[in-house]
Amino acid sequence: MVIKASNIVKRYGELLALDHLNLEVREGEILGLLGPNGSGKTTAINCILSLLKFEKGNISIFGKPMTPDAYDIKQHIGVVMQNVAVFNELTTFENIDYFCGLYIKDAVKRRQLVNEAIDFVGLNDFKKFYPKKLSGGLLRRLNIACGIAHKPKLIILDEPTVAVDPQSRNNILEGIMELNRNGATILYTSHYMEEVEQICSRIMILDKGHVIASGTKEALKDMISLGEKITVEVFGLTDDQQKAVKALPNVVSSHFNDKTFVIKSAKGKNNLENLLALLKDQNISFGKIYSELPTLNDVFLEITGKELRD
Amino acid sequence: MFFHVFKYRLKILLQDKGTMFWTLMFPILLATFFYMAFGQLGALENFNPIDTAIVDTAGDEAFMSLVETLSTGEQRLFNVKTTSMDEALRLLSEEEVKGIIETGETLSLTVSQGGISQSILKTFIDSYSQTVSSINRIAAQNPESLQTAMAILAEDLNFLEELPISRANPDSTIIYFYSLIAMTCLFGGFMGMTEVNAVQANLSYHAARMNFAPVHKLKMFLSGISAALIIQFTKILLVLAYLVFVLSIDFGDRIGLIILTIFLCTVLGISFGGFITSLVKGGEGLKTGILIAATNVSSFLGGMMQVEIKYTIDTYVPILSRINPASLITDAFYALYYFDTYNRFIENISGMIILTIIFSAATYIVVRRRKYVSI
Repeated sequence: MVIKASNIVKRYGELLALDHLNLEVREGEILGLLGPNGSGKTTAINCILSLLKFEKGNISIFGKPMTPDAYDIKQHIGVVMQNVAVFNELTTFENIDYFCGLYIKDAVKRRQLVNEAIDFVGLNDFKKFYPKKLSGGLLRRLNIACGIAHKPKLIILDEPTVAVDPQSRNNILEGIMELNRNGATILYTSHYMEEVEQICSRIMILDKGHVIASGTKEALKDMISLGEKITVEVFGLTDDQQKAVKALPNVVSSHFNDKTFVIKSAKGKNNLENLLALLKDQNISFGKIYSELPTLNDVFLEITGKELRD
Repeated sequence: MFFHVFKYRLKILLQDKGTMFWTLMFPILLATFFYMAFGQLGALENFNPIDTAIVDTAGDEAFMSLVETLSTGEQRLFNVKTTSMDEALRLLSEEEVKGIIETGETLSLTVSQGGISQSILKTFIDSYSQTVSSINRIAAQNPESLQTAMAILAEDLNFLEELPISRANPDSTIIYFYSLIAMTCLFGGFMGMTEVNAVQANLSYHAARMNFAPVHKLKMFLSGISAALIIQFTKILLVLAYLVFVLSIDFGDRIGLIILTIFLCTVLGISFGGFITSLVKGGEGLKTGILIAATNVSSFLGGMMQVEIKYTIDTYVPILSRINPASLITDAFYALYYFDTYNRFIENISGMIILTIIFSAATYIVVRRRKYVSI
């Protein structure tokens, strides 16, 4: 086990930020910590990194208790924070060299690592640029390079793609997967379920400082009753027609609103075929029709009764 | 590791335009302004011998002997030209002399305009005439007391006396330049604040990132504070060099001790900033505001804005002067400039060292914190 956090309780005054949080990160995996803003993701990371005091619980990393003085542990951790933390007075190269130098003393080795990090995040053309001259996406890449240049075994990324354009986001996500393929264990927090689904081998869903579900994305989706969501564009539905749809096998709920008919079904075969057959039998005219498998948002919605982005 | 952080802190601090302006450019601009405003005041206060023409019509040997005495040596009162009345009038009209003294039954003074030199000449001949008159009266009325009376009166003829309280030529405007240096030293507080913020994870994202690294926090802090100290000290030396070599301000012959004092003041200023930053709970803006306020109050009580305040505080609340960084700094400079002995200087330097130790210890207690309640 790379990280093991047991029963962590953290309060900010009256607010319970982490409620007996249990978290495990296994070697070689990308664990996604998914939760809405304010769910306790960053607090959990800061507690894991021994930056925040917490009232109760134990944290170990690489099998050793984590403390502020655990330099042998810190040596192998790379952290990329949500907020860009680079120095505007230093160039791209100097920023990475500065933070890398806190881990690597040997100047020759460090230079090589810094160049590799620059290459990895694609900032070769911007080595001598100052951060103010970099776009938001490039700045995020620099932020990542500063955290991973020393080639840590464990990389913790706290919402590294916030406010990043789609192209840069894809580059960053690709990069994270490559780091993982190169052997790094990754703890990744986000409130973007698509990202977490895309790159994480295991996911923990956090709400109000508490893990409400964890597992692979398939396992999480299996936890809920929803198996399929079918959306049909129709031009009008009578009450009887709606009742007939609701009476179809596996249908959990349906909702008609302004030409859009949404049918949620439990897991089962032929849900779409059954619906199409009914539409034909009832002579209901329809336009577009599409079927979606449940998302992590559906998982979150079913467990908590609210949307991830509420 | 120390030098790695030190090198980059140097680079970062050197590019901090705000600090660079307030701790280097602003003092230089202010010094230039002071020089233009007060530069001539000092020159006026320095006494220059008065160019005087003497027309010895009466062949007054006693008077001429006195004039000769007062016209020789570095501390002379007059530059005398003994000449005819015509020549003397020509010299006066061409402003080569300030006045003409003609001997006769009574001494007469001819001047073409008013001024300090002319007033001194008038005072001189009045005093001489009065003395001669007194001696004549005593000789006539009480001849046995003549010798004693002449000895007493002779003392009054010492028209110019230097009081050796210092090695330097006292110049009241120098206080402004010392205050300027003291103020610049206190501005080092902003660098102290920057360095405390740079290692406090609850104050900056950079600091949070550095706290994740396998480096002892105090080692990073010491690297940063060393860089700040070197930069601040260098900047004040540049200000001093500008004052000495460009503005030709005379700080006396204790320049080595002045530089030592500047170094200690720099350390005090930086630790003062660190101390205030450590004490204040809140964001960087609040800390900056309180540091500015504290620096200004300290400077005000130290007499940097109105020198009488310092004397008032020294008289009525002396303890405040002993714990006020600005008071100690300015007083150390004054002591170096005005006094031959080192007692008062050492007293001030000791006070500064004690304050630095207290400020540094308090800062250490806060900075050593490794875990935070909130970030």
